[in-house]
Amino acid sequence: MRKLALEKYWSGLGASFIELGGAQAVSDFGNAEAELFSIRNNAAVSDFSFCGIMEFDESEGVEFLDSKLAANILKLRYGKICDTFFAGENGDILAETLVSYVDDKIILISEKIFESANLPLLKPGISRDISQNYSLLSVDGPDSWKVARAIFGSDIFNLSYMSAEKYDFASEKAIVMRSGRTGEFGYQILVSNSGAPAMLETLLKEASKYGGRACGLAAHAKARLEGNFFNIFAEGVQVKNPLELGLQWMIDFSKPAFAGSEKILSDRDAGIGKSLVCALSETPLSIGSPVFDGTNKIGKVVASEFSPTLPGNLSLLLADKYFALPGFKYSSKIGGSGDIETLSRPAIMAQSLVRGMEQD
Amino acid sequence: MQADHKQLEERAQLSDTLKQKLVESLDIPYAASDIANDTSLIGSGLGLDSLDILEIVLCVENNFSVKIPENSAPVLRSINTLVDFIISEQKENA
Repeated sequence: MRKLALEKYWSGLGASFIELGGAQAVSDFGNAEAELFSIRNNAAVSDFSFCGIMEFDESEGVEFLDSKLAANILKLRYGKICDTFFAGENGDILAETLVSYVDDKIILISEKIFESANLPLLKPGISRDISQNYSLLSVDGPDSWKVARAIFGSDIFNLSYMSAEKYDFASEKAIVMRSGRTGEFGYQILVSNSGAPAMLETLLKEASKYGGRACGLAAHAKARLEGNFFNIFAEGVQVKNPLELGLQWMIDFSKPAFAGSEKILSDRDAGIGKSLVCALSETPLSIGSPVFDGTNKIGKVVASEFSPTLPGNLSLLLADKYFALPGFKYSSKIGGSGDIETLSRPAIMAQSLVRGMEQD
Repeated sequence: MQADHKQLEERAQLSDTLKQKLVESLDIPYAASDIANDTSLIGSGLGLDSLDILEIVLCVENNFSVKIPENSAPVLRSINTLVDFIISEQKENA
């Protein structure tokens, strides 16, 4: 298992660790709900260095990635980020990838389902795995832009969603990507391991001015579910078909081919019979448990978290497409009384959308 | 308990029509059938921007006889939130 470069620092803050995709990750700091509160109300600082981080040379890398990833990487403009996925030849999703075009390089950040999932993306002379050398920190929340501004200056106002830019930090360079996946403002910061301790200390110091704190991935899992963002470590473990997962928007269907395209396009032509729908219940639902419409089994639970924001138990159901619509009541027991109510995503109203960036 | 199947079919029909109209109005590079109901409209998902908001507002007004208020950010978060709004307004106006 690849260890976090900042493991000792996080341990000193009381972190619990888990393994994600073959790498160490911070699960929580003892109170995932309080950590989620920071994401939703001020600024939460996290470590995403468990992700695979790869660097590609500009022109050859673009063409190579375009042949592998579902989106059209040839159309990726300088300074922009593309959210897409990498699939196996059987069409199953293996990694969600954020591809950034910055500083004459292509940077690929991947949340991969197992350690070697990225290996087909490594090609000598074109790409390099830099996961061991860099840390990927993040700050998310309605006040995260204030934290980013304090560190990188007012130029961050020019950083629109899904954009990336290189900034100076102390004697280091940092790539700042506005690619938060919580529903709130969010920035991911790629910095060399030598610069990571100072960056983390600065992020935590600035975030604390707004009541912010360190935050683990347990809180991010809740935030993604609330905020309508795909989580490969939750529903992505239970459902492998990108079309059933509703990830068509990550695919360029006009591309001649990409990894897994034959199966994905064949599924598309045949039509998918199941899709995801969000649901709220008073009692927690177990992953894999069935869901009924009267006595008819219509689906199963594929992700579930308690949401203190709503509050309630928020789940994703993989259901027959006919039933996978918001505003209806289903049951966790055959012939049950309708204890599960489907709802539209995102399930919460992001504070960032309400407050905006109140520039001084 | 069973869901009202007539309401399920009506919701599905409305959702499909909305997607079709949005694809036509906004030149979205997807077939309506490729757009999942929870797909985000702005930012990630369909990747529409603030300039497209006016087109969405006009599209909904012209095709569903429903007026979207000026501060429409909560309504425009996803296909499903937009359908929720149309259903709610149509009920109110009935």
